[in-house]
Amino acid sequence: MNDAAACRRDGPNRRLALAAACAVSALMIAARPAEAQPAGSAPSTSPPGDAPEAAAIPDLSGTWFPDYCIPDGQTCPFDIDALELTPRAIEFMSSFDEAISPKYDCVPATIPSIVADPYAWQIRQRSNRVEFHYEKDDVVRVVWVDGRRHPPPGERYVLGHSIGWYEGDTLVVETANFPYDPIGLDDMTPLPTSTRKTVIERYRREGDRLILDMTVEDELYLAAPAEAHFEWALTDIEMLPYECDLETARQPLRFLPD
Amino acid sequence: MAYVSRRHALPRVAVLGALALASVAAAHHSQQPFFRMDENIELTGTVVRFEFKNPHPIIHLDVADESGGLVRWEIEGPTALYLRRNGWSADSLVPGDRITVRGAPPKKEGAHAMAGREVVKSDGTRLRLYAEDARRVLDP
Repeated sequence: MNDAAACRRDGPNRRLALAAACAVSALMIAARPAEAQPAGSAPSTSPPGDAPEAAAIPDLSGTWFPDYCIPDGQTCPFDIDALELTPRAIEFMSSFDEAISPKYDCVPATIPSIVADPYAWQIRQRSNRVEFHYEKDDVVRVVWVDGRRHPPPGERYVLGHSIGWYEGDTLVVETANFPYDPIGLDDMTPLPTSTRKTVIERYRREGDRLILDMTVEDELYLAAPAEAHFEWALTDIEMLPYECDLETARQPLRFLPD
Repeated sequence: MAYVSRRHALPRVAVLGALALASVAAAHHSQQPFFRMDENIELTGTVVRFEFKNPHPIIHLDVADESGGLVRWEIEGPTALYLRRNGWSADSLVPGDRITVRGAPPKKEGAHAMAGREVVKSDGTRLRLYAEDARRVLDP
């Protein structure tokens, strides 16, 4: 049995080391573009199930560098004080044990945190998918634009499963099938998300700027949807590898206050 | 000089007081569980090792304490990816470099760790660990 099958079969109460391995395996599955798909499928211009519309595909391709919500005094990705959190979320935050955060085992940041990180990323538009290549954590995120639907609820991925379609000049991305994540909304504050998290991203381009409006919903931790806005500038800088070092990642835990 | 661990001896630390570093603190609040980000201290010592890795490069620094012994400090920085884009490399610091480093002190009592903000080498070169502009290179 491979790691992926083991990850799907195991329940949520797994040791952190196995959880990290499962998450990485699931991420690799999500990143593999070689899944079966309708032959000759063109990028979808409507949500799954709707009648497709003929339309030009906006060019969002390129390397993008954050030009908004970077070190300037703002908190990213959300204004924490403006979030409407459930009592469950507030209680979780008040008793959070920093040591359990998956990032200390090099588990990649999920959405929206990875979107807000101050690093470059690339968009590559293909006929049946759009690839998001992030410097942070060396993540490759695949958005399927061939009209497919999300997999069954038993399949979960650290960065969720993304499907997308074009609406005029906008790429709309819907992501679901997330696992429970103790830092799933914000890996710095930290803010958790449950298996009910869904994320809608709307990407559009204005000249050499990429603009994103994002909505995160999670009825267990958010009393109202969380909204965020990001902007990037087109750049020609070279993408660099991240290559998280496990020993270095765990180093700060030795300095946690007693 | 023999390395002497004097866990409870005070290193030669300059306390620079609480500084209004809201912008830096907000940007790097991943260190808040471990460091007092609204404070700043200064250490002078000798580089023993410089680990230039992600997620956090670490400067291993031997600092003389008040009794004349050496205390090993670990200075944590932002990601190597971030630093590389701001002019750093794995060779920016080498063993034997005499440096002064400023940053946030640890929350854990007795810990010899710092969230580094700036390094000043013996030749006066300043290496910022956090630039206000993420794209800015080293100061000339």
